Amino acid sequence: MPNINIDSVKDRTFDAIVIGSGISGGWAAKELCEKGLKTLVLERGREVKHITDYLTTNMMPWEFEHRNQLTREVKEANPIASRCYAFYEGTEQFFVKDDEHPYIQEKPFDWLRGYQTGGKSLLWARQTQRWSDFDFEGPARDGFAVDWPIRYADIAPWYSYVERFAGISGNKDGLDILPDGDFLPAHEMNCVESLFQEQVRKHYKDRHIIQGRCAHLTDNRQIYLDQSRSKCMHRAICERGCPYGGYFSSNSSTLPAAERTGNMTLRPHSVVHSIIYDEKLGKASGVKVIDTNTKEEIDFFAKVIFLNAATINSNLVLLNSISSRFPNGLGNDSGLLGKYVAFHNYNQTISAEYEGYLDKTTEGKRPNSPYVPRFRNVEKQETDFLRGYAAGFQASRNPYYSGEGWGEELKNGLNTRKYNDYWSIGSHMMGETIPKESNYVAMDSSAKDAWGIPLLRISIDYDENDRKMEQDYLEQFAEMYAKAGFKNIKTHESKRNPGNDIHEMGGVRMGHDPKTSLLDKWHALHHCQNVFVTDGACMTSTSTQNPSLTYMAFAARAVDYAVNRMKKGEL
Amino acid sequence: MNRRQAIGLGAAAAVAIPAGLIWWSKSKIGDSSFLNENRQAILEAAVDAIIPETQTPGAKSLGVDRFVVKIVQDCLGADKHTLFSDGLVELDKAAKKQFSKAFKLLSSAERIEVLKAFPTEDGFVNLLKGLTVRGYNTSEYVMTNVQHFEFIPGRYLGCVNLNQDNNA
Repeated sequence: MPNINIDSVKDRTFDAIVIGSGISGGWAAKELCEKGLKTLVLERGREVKHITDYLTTNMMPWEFEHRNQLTREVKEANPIASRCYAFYEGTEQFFVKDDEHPYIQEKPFDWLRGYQTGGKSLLWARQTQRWSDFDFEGPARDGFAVDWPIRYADIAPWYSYVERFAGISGNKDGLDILPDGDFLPAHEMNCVESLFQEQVRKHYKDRHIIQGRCAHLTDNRQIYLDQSRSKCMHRAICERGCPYGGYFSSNSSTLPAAERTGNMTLRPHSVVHSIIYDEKLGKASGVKVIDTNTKEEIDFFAKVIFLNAATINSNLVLLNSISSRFPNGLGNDSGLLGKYVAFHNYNQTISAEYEGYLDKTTEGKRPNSPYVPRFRNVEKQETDFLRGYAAGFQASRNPYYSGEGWGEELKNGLNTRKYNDYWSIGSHMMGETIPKESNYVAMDSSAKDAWGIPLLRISIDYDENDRKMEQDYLEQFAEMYAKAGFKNIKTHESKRNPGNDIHEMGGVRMGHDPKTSLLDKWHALHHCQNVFVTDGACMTSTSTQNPSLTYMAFAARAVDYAVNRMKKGEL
Repeated sequence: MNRRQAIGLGAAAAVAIPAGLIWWSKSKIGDSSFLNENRQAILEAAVDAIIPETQTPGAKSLGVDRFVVKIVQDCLGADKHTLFSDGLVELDKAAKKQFSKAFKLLSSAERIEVLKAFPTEDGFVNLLKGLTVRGYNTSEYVMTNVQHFEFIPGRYLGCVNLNQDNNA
């Protein structure tokens, strides 16, 4: 990284600034740099370099001091992070520690964060399903939130653009609800998953079981070799960082691409206090940064600013960007900044057993699983709740070693591979939640963090629609399981707090009308046209797909637009 | 090609592997154990009986007693420390009552007799056995030679013939 001389304004002036180096910021950085803009990428956390900083990536299970169990000390200090499935001895280093970055929970909310270069793109679950017009048209049809100012046709070419570079595996399934993309070969389904696929096809004309589309390289192609990335090796320990670049992350893909242009300056340990608004110019002139090590305040300047701090922190940056023109936060004439935050409801799971294919099992590992696209309320409203849910699904037949008895009997058991006389079946729901004004984030009036930035208050909860949807998911899956011949069907409520899904979205929503939304159809603030928000904060509604792919496409599209406007001298 | 050559960069591995080895050095574990020498010896005798040495290594030679101490000490609460530490003393008392000898001086068969007869209500025996099994199952020897753990499978095959008891 080039040294930054902060002595003069000139040295602190760039063509563009990207706030955040996670999955959407990485894309903004790559696109801006490749279009020739000198770009400053600000990351509030430490630098994590691809491969060299994945300290646990090559550790064998027995090499972990506690064999990947969290210590009592870590769990007690980090109750929020400890509730995340991906937080374990091998990944602790990529999660924000609860006590270092406090926030105020008006209602229980698990805010999971990764403060490092790459952000949560190192840790994500890598599912990449496209939205369709059934999703973009949701709010308008069903009368909630506001109408999305874009449709599938606006974003489709950008989905293809980011998919080709990131590397997305999947089948072309030909479904209207989940448009096909530019895919690498799909992962295999196992025999019982294929059976479920067939049974569901037979019994329901509008329900489909497909292989999940995911950001894993399943083929070595030149475009990935050029990124020094090679095929996924199916280790299925992705969250530790992948030395092959087998899955997409900012660290393995977009940040190195930005770096290669020579146009990127990456500055870690730089938390953004606020965006600076120039009253005379009527637009943003830069950002105020606090160096997290020295606590020094530094202003950086640019013609265009991309805000990609991840949903909740992007809200905070805008809320804290106060000027006489914008006393309630940058671009917040509507008073809606921080409101209409929503998430995905993962609260229910359903398991079962299948007593067929007993002479078969699987081999190797699969960092992916089948996916059930939304089938509820698709063409028309058909239930007493709004919207619907997608679901993950998988069947497995793993060996076990009996722990019965003592002494040599026990040892024999532990040395004998056995299989149950059934396959284990599992599914989890991913429900759309309805954005509401009462689900919000706001700044506390007095409490501040270690860098003098106001603490966030988070007030987000489930509602009646979510509970009805949960019930329907359980009923429909129990019925589908039964029709497929699965037995011993059991439901489980995981009692997750909102946020544990790590799919929080909204607060800076897009819309046609500046009175009811913050961002226009190009992701620019209606009232401050050189500030773009292309992370989860921009989401008008959540639909059911894992959202990261959509943020990537949004970022690439918005950069294209911003640079075109800059060339015309409009920004 | 080995895995480190395969990724073209040994730095991550070079850091990772020593980190895995450090805690196995007996002196470090001994220094930090919350058990005194006598209780440590009872634990060692117990894991040795639970999963004995045969033609393959048992729990004792795989260092499972050190794993058990590590987990109880670092991952479980103070109540479990007491339960575990006191449980070992009780085990010794039970041995003296049943066989008039210290637990560690009993034969493997006698130690198992004591363990089987030990009251289960407080959860001590289950904890001891459970951690012993986990330490054994997650040891390098067992994962490599018994379970044939593949760190880098490079594949997923969805439907292969099942070979029941292929290690029997």
